[in-house]
Amino acid sequence: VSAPGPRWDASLDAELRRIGRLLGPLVPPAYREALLGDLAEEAAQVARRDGGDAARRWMRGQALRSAPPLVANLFTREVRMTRNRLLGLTIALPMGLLQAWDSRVLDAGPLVMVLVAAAIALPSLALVLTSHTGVYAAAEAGAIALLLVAKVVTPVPLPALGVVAVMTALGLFVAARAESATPPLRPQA
Amino acid sequence: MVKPDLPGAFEQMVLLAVLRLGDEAYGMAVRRELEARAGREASLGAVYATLDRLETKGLVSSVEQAGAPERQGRARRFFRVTAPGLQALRQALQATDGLRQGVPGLDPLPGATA
Repeated sequence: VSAPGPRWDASLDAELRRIGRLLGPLVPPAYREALLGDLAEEAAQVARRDGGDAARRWMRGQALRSAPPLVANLFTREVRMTRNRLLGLTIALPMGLLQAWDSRVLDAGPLVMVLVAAAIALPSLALVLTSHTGVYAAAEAGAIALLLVAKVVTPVPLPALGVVAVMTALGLFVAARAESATPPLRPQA
Repeated sequence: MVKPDLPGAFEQMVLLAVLRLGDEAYGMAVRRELEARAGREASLGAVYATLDRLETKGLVSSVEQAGAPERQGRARRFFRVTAPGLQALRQALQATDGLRQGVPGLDPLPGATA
């Protein structure tokens, strides 16, 4: 493929940027540059062959026809990711609360109650707010730290407190494992 | 027993186009291959949405290469069919072929050489 000829001009560049702004949010981040690059490459060839107006029309046509499948793909992705997070949340939140109850947290005083509640809320919030596995790991580490503090400060034995951490970790693991099936969402080197 | 999640018709076409293109399989080339070989005028969006779905299923993998002047400096993403992708494609084509056999007017395919 040869370099763009004299017919690739600022107006085509502006058109490409406009299309990029419209289609960009619909395209998985890892594919964004590639899709716009393909558009530029093919439009440059159309411009050399048929002129700038034809290239602009070609780009607009591609953008119009590209939007429906990209929207459908985005919707499918969002549904899948929401389902994965809900699955993780279903494990982390109720199971964590049940284990906290079983650990007699309510008898351990307000400080321990707050620490354990925060330890359960932290992974659950991570699941709701992000799909990033690094954030999941940080949230779980924070939860374990809070549970360790709760264990140290309370005079009441909390035998099953470790299970709270295991349950929240399991919820995050389930969600993260499912998220890993969506590689293009993570920009690759 | 055929697996229920075999690639669909357009996914099969995209997989075949990627295989045909070898080391030159990127979005625009795949789109053109579909047009030239299958008479299918697909948009770039449809091609990328399908490639995204196939990569999510692990049937293709991709790698990005630095931009070029003819692309206004934008990167190219090259795709290749993975081993599970090849297996899924083979199964899908066999399933279609199994259904086709014995159908009047399609067995053998019109225009096919014996």
